[in-house]
Amino acid sequence: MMDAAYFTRARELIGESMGGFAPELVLSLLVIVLLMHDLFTRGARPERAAAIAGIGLVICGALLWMQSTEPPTAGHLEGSHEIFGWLTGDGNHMGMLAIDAFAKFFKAFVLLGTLVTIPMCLVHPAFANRRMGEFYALLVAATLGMFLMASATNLLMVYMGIEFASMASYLAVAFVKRDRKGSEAGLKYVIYGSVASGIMIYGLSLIYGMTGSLHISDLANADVTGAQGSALAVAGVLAFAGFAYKMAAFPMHFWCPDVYEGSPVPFTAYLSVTSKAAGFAVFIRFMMGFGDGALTVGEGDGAYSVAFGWQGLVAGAAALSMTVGNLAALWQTNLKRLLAYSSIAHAGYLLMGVAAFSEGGGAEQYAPVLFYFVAYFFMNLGAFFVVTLVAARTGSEDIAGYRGLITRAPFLCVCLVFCLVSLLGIPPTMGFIGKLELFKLVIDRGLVWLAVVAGINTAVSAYYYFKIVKAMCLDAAEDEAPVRVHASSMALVGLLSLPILIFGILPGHLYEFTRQFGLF
Amino acid sequence: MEFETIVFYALAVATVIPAFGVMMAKDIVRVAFWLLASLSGVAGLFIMLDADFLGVTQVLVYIGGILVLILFGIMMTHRDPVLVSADDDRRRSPFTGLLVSLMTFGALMGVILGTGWNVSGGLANGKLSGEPTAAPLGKALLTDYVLPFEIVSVLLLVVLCGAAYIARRGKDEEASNA
Repeated sequence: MMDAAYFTRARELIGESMGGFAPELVLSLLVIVLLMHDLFTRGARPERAAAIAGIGLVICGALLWMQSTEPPTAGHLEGSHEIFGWLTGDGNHMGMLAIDAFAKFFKAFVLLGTLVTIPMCLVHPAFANRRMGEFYALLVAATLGMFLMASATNLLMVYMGIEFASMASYLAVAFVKRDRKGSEAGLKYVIYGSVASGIMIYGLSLIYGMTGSLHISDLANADVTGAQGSALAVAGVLAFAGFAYKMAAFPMHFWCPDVYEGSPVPFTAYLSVTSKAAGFAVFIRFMMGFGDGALTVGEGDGAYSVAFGWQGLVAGAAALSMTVGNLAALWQTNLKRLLAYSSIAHAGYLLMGVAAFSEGGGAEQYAPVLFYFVAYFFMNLGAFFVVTLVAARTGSEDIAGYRGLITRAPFLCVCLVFCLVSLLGIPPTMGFIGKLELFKLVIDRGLVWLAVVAGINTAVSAYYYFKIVKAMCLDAAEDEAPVRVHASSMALVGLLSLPILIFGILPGHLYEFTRQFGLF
Repeated sequence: MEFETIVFYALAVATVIPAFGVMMAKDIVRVAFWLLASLSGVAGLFIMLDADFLGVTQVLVYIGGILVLILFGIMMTHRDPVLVSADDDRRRSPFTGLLVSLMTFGALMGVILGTGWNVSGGLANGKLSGEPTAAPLGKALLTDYVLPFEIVSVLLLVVLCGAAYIARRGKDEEASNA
């Protein structure tokens, strides 16, 4: 096996793969450049570090934009475009990363989320006048990990992507030193994260033991001699723990409120959007690798297929995530904690869509989830941006601090109302259309009970979203001084809120657009 | 009984009994030493399973690295290294823990015994090949698995810098604190 021809072929394959790996390569270099920046700079230059990070991300985005999802040479890489890995004897390519439309969607999503985070970091008071190169390096590293998560087609890469994103996030959460809450949040994040990743890798190792392969496509078509459905179910449930952790879904959601509250607001915003998206990307790919849950067991006449009920597991996790998230959110007074619970609930809504996936479902089934992610991007980042700006000026993250915001900062207040209304999911916002499509998909696939649970949950969530709106618009302000915000920040908040309204009224084109990014 | 089987059970006992010790011991230094025994047992099992490189790595990383790190950690952080886990939570019944662990054990045993594992590799024919694995591993890391191998290096760089940042005392913090 290890002859000269093999090495030549391996070298060729690596060379071919580099083209598809260019965006990740840029991110890796950017991490090093940002670390170097602090080394060679006198004094605090947060703006320059931010500019370097921004330029690097834009270059990465341009490469991602130009990247072709077509395989470079016909026959070498069959059908799907995967990079690295090896070619098996019969010409199959067992790649490490997939370069497909689905991965591209989530990479672009994560990249844009990172880009929006940078201006938030610039206005965050704890980040002012300090060396920020290391923080941006961690931010870019987490992004790189999420890129790997979005593409991973090998269980080894799945695990490494998740670990990469997690490790960088742990450090970034605890970035502000001598901040008790931040350090506590970082520690909790590490401990819960290690437990989740330990459980997950145990499950993955069981799966490897049964299939003898680490490639995701082999999950469905490996011959598992003598395996039982229960064994696969145990392995699947254990593996799900790791994915649920990144999605902040039940039952691995405990870390979420504490970490969201303790970490710097810009990073909270970043985590709530990108980490969740990457978690969903890697989980959807993994789950669809199982096919419709039919593994052939035994040989010849004694063969029978084992169905592994992902649908039951995911639907259950979805229902519990939204219920737990929404019920806990009712009592929150800290806006960051409230948004944390709301993000757990949203993981539930999104999982509801994932539960409705089936192998032959085609591109149609992915569109509602992807569209909802786009909506989630704008409404959650918009809400967090306003929270960052208000906290920077008033020092308060409590709902009480938002009383009478309509007179103090009318523009920010209106934008936040849009975001909250969209998070709740009422017309004419993007959140409404997204939820409508999710409900349609779920009812279409016969999961009516799940739609009912989600409907009740939406009604419950109205209480706490409107609690904020009421405080901002109806209650009298304790401090009448206007909240002054730089025009560029206002513009960015507006830019994040406007699509919520535009695509809420005219969703057609965007919905069609998301349709082409399904997993095939 | 074959010689291999006897060695296997001896190593298994040498792994599991100290693992109980890790769980039961109150004193963290004792925990560290029980861990030493348990991890050595695992290293022995790896070597028995024909994974000599993994066995040596286990010794180097876990015993030589992590365990020593734990001991240093105890030495640096506590003046009295003998008593650390002082608070016994008496309110919590041990039976709940026992029940949960027994259920988990049952489920996992069901999986382990009821599954036909895919053993297409070296042990399938019941004989140890006895060839060193370091060379094939090295080749695989630079060909088929070059991406995970290189990604780990970037990950380690990031984590190293991050850990150094968290651990160091920044000038700006000191100034603001003074």
